[in-house]
Amino acid sequence: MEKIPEHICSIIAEAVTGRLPRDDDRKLRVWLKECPERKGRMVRYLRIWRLAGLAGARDRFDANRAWKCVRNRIDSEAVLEKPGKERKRQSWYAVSLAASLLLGTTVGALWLGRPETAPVTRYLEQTVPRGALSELALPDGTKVTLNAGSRLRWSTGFGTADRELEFRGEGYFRVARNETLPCVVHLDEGVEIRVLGTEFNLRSYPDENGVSVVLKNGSVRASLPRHDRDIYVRPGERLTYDRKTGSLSLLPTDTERAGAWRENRLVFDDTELETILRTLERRFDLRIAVLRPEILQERYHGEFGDDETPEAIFRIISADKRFRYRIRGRTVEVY
Amino acid sequence: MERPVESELLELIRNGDFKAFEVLFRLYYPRLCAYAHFYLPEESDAEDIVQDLFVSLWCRRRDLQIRTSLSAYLQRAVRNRCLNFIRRYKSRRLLRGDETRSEFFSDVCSVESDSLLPSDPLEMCEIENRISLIVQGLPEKCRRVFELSRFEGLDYLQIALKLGISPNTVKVHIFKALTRLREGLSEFLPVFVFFFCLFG
Repeated sequence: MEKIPEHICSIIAEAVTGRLPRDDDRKLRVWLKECPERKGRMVRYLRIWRLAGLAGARDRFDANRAWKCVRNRIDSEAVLEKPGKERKRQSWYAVSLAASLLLGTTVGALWLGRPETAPVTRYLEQTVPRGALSELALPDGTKVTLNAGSRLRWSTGFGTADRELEFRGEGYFRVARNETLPCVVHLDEGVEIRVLGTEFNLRSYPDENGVSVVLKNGSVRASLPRHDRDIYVRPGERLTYDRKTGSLSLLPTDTERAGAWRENRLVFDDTELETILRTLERRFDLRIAVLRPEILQERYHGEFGDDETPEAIFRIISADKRFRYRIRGRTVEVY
Repeated sequence: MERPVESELLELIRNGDFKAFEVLFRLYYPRLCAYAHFYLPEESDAEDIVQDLFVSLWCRRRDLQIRTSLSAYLQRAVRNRCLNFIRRYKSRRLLRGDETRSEFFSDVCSVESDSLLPSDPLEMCEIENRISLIVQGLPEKCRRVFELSRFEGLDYLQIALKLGISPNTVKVHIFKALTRLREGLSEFLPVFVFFFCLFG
């Protein structure tokens, strides 16, 4: 067998680790092409490298911990199959235990199922009216800030029996880490966000087509209708999904700006007027009537501090004369 | 050829035996993770993919059609999931406009056969033990370099910095370890190399 020249040895050593610079890649290919027997040797080195990865696998990958995760996921999926299907047929019995914790915020308890059937799953929910913000802590230590017009619902077993949330609106989630019990956020129309422990901003209003997830840290997996494979979002990325068309995008983004609403700041980056108007409606509790729907697709950039009035914001957005507006009390006409 | 033990396990799992499923899981989980880790640089991604596979395996247990050995089936499934993951990862890299990665790695990935792991769990154990012995028997520096690169995922520059040696020395050590392993594992490696088309 021919002796492999030293510089090729060192390139092969790099190649098996998978980080070959373009230049060396070319050199190696040339060398391999010169003689068919060399290819065989190269392939053998790659196989050895792979096989070597098997050694110590039992120490590096903890099957006990992983088995708990897998068993929990299988359990939770089996449990979820049933109530999910029955939920639509049964009616919700809302009982207002309504204790106002925060200004403009109500907490209520809901029963799932007919009152006479036992056992009953009890649900708690928090809704945030327009013009308000709300913060809450869930039993497992997860903290959520909810934007105006949002609703979060969880079961009384949250944190022990399950970590399932039903959510609509906009929220900033800091999910406590629990690898054995992943947290699953169910959004409208079958969108699911699955996390272990992480910080992210989630926006999914029922009156907007777009769903967006912006991840600050940790990792998030999204299951989307019309997409067979789950999408993994990484820190610093924004996943947007259009419920109507099914299209999605995954792009780097500024995570700080996505959470700016928590300080009552408004940030619009290439945002459609339609979304801007809905945001303003919720933020200031306005009713906005649009008389020229064709302008709704126009896009705008802008940032407003926490002290801006609706008047000032409309004046600035309409400065380029793409639309005009009239404000009467809480009602705005855009034309 | 299908192993009797495997086919029994599979039959039990089809009939909803959760205990049998656990046995299968514990048998293959670390190995499949190690296998996935070759494709994916992050161990946590590798673990996610293998866990997803097992959850979906259980959910689809009644409709499972496996014509090869169970081990080959699992490897193929992990490999497919990894390649999908890489494809997504790459498109994301493109979006970010990052540096172009070496194509060498992906070329090899896309044509590799599924039969890296032997279909017999016993043979797999034997290989694992053999590798451990060979690695333990390497000269101290060489072993350290190899472990850092193979098991801790450091690249040669990081290793050079960590151990205070030149990058070139690191590569020499890696190649030396490879050569020792090749000698020690020769009986497990197919003599006939099945993809000459590889770099064509």
